[in-house]
Amino acid sequence: MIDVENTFRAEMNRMLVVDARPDWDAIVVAAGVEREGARRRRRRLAVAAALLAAVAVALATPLGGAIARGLDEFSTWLSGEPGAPVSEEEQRAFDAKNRRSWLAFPEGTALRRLITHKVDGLTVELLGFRSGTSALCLRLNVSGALKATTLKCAPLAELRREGGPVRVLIADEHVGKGNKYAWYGIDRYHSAKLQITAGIAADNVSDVVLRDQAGRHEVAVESNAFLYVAEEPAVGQRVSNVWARTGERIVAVPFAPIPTALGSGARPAPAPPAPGVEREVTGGTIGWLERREPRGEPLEVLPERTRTTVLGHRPGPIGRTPTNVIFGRVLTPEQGRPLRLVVTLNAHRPGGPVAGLCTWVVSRAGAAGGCAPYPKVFAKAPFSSGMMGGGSGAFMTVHGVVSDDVDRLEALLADRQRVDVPLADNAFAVDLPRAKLPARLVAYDSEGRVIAVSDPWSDFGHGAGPARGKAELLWRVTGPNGSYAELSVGPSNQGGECQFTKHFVDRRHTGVGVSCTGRQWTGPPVQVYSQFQPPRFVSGRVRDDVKTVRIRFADGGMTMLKPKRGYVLFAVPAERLTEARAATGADGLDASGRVIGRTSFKPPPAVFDQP
Amino acid sequence: MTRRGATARELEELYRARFDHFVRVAAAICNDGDAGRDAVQAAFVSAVRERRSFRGEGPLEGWVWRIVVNEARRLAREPRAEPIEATSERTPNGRSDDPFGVRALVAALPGRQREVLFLRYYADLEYRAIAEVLAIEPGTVAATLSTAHQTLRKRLEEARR
Repeated sequence: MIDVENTFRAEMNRMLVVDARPDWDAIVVAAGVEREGARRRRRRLAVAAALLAAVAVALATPLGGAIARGLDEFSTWLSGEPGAPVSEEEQRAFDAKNRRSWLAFPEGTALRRLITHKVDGLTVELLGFRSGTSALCLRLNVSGALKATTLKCAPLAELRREGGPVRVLIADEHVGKGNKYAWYGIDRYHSAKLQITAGIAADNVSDVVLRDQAGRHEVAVESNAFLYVAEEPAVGQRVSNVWARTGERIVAVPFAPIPTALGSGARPAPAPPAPGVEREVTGGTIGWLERREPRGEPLEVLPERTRTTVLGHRPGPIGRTPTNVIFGRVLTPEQGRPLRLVVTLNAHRPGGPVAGLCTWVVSRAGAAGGCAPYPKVFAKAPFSSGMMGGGSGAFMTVHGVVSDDVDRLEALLADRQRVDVPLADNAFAVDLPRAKLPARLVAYDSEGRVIAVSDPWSDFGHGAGPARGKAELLWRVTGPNGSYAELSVGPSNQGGECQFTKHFVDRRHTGVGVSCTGRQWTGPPVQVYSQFQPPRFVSGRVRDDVKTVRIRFADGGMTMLKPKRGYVLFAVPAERLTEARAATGADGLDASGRVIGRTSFKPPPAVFDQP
Repeated sequence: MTRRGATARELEELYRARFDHFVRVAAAICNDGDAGRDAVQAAFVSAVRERRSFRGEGPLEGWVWRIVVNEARRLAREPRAEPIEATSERTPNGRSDDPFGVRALVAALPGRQREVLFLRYYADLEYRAIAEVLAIEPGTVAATLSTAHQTLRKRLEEARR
């Protein structure tokens, strides 16, 4: 006879796996309690009758059906125009500046004034516009005693995806210098005068609720947008949660706090499960690039400054000449989008054979990129990708190139939504919401089979970073010719410690390294590294059971160091700054003198394989 | 003497302590995990707003369970996506993780029987508490549970043959 009760109990946990987390704040906000201290500015949301007519027409068309979900939520942004037009003078100034830009928004882009907010003698204006059919953008203008401008865009397609009735585009944008400061390790940070968070709202959202370290703040939606200005925020203050109020309901908005320069200390969300690879692909190439076909535009279209940045990048040691670039083109992964991808085949030396594939993404915010050995880059996976973003932006641009094996590319977000990635001439670039990272790239062949899945892309700043508090100087050593190094230790935001290694050789060879850990020791017992080649300084940390650190030299010599609170710092004497006598590694010895960990000071391999 | 009213703090403590239980039972009633979560959130919003109307004639948890169940029932009537019990996922080694189809059997039970099962075995409520939550007699709880047992036992035996 079957024991139904036990069978049922055993099945229960597996049966009802519910991926939900408690959110008491949302309940408190929705219930309208604990409102003290919350700043509230309510204004009526006005939806023009003409817009409603436009929505009705759109719904009656086949296209309308396709975007009905979007129209339910963001119709004003998708098919209408939120806010009011800016003055003719402002529009003319925008047009003139846009025309001068190499990466211009489409002709006819119309600026709309969404919200104006006055604070402490400053005027904060939120403007918005649609960039063709690809993106919508918010521009923040601060005027008065301070002047600042920032522009952030979101892909228009984002509004048609699941993601709540509010999209944050700008988060904690710093404006001006405040009157607070705090030590984080060896640096003293100033607060901003203002920190501004802004975004767009669906048609039925009346208010947006935000929480930061200063409390909970409710701001009214105007012109389908919201603007939250934190005055004199604390150092490191961040908006951590966002909710939207729609009538009686309060809805949590997917949102990822902006990491500070010191790291957020937060752990990343779980990555979406990787779909199975249905066909293995190895050893891909980009045919048109190898055949030197003139796809896209020539490199000469790049503005001089960008060209210097992009083509000045050299593989291997610093000092190579620009002629290392054998062939390159400027590609437009998505028509109408002010973003280009520069792809070049590079050699190790002028006139040499192809050794590397370099890709650069160039946007209005700047250029970022890197190189990889070619065709080895496609030896195991048919794509090579990078990520650009940061600051107050809520989206990260994942970009790169694929081999000819790839017919279609998708991004798989943390919430398991799939995003089509525009692909042209083997180049791609897609903006992914930081709130939905980690994400994976999934590549398909022409028969729709999965041929590769990337490792998850995580947001920046999830690693341990310095916590508030001044670091303590543990070591100071001097080297030849006035060089010196210092090692300080302070708390990390994950319960461990951060080591700050400052070194100075001369004005051109100076720097600070920061390395933070969590509460538990991870990795090898000896984490001691060298600076410069041949090594001038040796620094790092060792596990508790390492009682002595032995520095090894190329000529067989050795030096013993006693760690101080688990840290060592050593200046290599002048006579050992030659390759034949250089420091080559470090051993960690326990109390009995047994070696329990080793590390080598061998320099990392060059970006490209040496021919 | 009975107390009147509950505090937001008491409700918060209950919410945090029993969140998983509330969500899972609500999800079972709604046949949908997201809807279950929405039901719990909405129920606690109501509970916080109406906290002064709690008359203290029974445990606070029972009062909240009733609100949660009612909210879940309301959401269950709304159109929704695929039911959570409809799928039987394969484990990495290719075997079903529910070889006897318990999920499908439970999903096929009448709503009242499902609610009683989950309140009894997941929320661990006594018959009297279940009766209060569902606004039925304790005897009806016992009878409903017995019927659900018989139905499940019969179907499980059939499935194992």
